[in-house]
Amino acid sequence: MKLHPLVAASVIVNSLGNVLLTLAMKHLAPVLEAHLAAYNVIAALLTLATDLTFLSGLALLLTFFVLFLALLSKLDLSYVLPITSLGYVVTALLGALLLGERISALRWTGIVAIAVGVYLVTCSAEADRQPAQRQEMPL
Amino acid sequence: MTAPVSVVITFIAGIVIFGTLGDLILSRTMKQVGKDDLRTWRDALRLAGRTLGAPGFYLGISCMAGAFVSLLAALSVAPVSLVEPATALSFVLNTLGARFILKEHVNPTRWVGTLLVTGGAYLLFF
Repeated sequence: MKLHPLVAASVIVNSLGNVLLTLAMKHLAPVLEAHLAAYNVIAALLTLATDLTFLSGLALLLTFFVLFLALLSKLDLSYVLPITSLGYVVTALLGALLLGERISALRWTGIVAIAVGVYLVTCSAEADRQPAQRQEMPL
Repeated sequence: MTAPVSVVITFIAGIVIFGTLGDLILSRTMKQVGKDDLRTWRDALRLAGRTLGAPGFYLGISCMAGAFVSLLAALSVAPVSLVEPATALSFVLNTLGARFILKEHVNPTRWVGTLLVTGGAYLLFF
């Protein structure tokens, strides 16, 4: 099984972005709620725009979107989309490790199912490529 | 839950349908503008320029925005533990669209893998 390096990069960038945004929203929540309760949208936006964690998370998610588009220019959607779901797994693991979130037995089952699914989708792409490679071989 | 079931279902359908349409349109657009080699930074810049000049890019982004607004609407009337698992359906709808609209070759192994990912994503939100 071989994972395209850009695919691996997009999965990691996506998960790190999600974790950073979660971190930012958690520590900004009280401030944001206070601003919104006072109908001060500009102050709320300013709080977000000046928070380094929020900005880094946003930048990573934008980078993910650019990588996702670059992948779609070369690979099948039915391949790229299931593979990027590995991001869920990495996000769940990072959430447990960095944010101290609890992973229930059901969520572990989900993580294993996604990992097996991604493995099968990767295999399916290799099965598709093999006949073409055989044709290219000189006789 | 604070809204009738039909409203919740409409918002969730909005997330799944707009999201899938966005993915399908972006995929088709990127295939059209990305036929050339993608090896150097110059290739990447050219690809970025062609992407920004393609109407499909803006249509796809609009659909994504529609999906995001539907998500916010759904989250305002239903708990996240109901909304997020339902969006796992997009994997199946996307693969159907890839097969029948984009005419991609989806072999049985890929279908089984996609269904496992869908089930796994569903479980992950509990």
